[in-house]
Amino acid sequence: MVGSNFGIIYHPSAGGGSSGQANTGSGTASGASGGNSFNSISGGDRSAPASHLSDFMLQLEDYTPLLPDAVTSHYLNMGGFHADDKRIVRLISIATQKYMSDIIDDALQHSKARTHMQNSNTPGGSKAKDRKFTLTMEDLQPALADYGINVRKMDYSQ
Amino acid sequence: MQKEHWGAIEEECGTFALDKYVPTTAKKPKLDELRQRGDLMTMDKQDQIELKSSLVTQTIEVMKQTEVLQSLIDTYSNKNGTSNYLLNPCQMIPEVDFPPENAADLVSEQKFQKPIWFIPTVDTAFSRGDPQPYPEISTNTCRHAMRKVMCGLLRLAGFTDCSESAVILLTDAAEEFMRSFIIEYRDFYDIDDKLEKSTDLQLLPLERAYFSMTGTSLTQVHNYYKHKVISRNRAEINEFTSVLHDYDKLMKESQSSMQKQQQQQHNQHDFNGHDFLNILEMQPGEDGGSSATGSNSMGNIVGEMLQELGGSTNSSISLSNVSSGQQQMLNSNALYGLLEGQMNNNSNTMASTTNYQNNFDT
Repeated sequence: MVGSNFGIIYHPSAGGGSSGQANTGSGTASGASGGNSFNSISGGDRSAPASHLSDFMLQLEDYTPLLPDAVTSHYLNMGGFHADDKRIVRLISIATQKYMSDIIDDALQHSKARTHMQNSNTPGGSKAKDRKFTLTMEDLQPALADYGINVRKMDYSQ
Repeated sequence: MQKEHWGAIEEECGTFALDKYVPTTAKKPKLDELRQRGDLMTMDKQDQIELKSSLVTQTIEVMKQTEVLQSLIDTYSNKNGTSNYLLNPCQMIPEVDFPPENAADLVSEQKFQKPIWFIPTVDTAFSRGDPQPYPEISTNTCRHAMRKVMCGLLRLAGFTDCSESAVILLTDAAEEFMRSFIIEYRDFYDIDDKLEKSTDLQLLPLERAYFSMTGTSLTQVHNYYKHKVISRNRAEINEFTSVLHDYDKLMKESQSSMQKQQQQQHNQHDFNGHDFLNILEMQPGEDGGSSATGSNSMGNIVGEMLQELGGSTNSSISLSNVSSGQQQMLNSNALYGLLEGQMNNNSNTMASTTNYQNNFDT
């Protein structure tokens, strides 16, 4: 059914709701907030983000992720889910793509900073090479560390 | 009353003797029959997983083309401030053919400019959430696909090269994120009594899991797509258009300078051939008295020509000093040879005259 809010209940009086989709939730996911810091939905102002997310879900057809949906569905199946809802699968695909893209952007900043340092230390460093960026472990390690992934070399390779 | 058990072996089945020998020759026709029906043939199960994101592909292609154009501009031009000037007007700039479809607008302007809740929902199979089975793929295939995705993301971010170990590490990170995310997602099912045994995908636990993983809402994914993918695409297309415009300007400048040069060469060629031959035709028929002034004028013209040809001016001076008609012919012949790319240093008058005749015969 079009306009399902995927179990998210929000008030119809809240601004930004689309085309009367409010309060159609089946209550399937109206459980406790789980005691975490998830305030956007479980708090008092829960309607707006929930409605945005609900609307966003319906528009996801035009968002083509680089990560194939089949790959995401594979991991969902491994996690014990029946991955047949294209919308959720696609949302996870794009979310993963975003996560990796953020890491890569950070690595690029590290690479730029390192290249800049090297060029400033080298007299007459070529400007043409400024456009070339090579991803190395040296740049990737600190970027991953920012996201809680610590890379450590084996003792014998240090 | 006799009980009937499910799965009980019927009495007729008991007539089969387990140790009854069945010869291979008797099996063969049955096996052939089955083989012809195709029941025993192995299923050729091939699923094709496409890594297709037209927007990302276009962005990367446009980036490559911009690099090609930029390197051509760097090769053939001299940057002065904001303008490019031809480095060598004699050098022809190669023509490039990048079809305009490469920079076509793949995203409808309206779609990502408006807030998502202003866009009316279109009733499609996707928006309805009709179940769609995905092909079953192995973990190795998944990793391979993810490695390719990482390469695409690296190129999209602006990296031009990467070490293989970095790609493997990124793939590991992506896989780890996916696993952790789904485990977290499952945890939110487990703490809910209604969802504990459910395997259907729900949005609310997903949002909670994402929030607990990253500290942001899933709606941020929209901002990522809008700002990092679409805006990047637009920016790259704009840069490509700008560089292509610069290259077109250089190309036009190059073509006009080449045309001018060709015109100049054409004019020079007309002068060298026509006027010089007139001179040669004029000289043999004149007497010695008039040849003195004639030789002077011819010496001046030839001197100029030699200067234009890059020869020394001493030749023209020596030519202007001669008075004999035969010597004039000799030197004229030498000049003619010079123009033809060969230098005759003959001192014999008769021989030179013969050469002169030969030259005219040819």
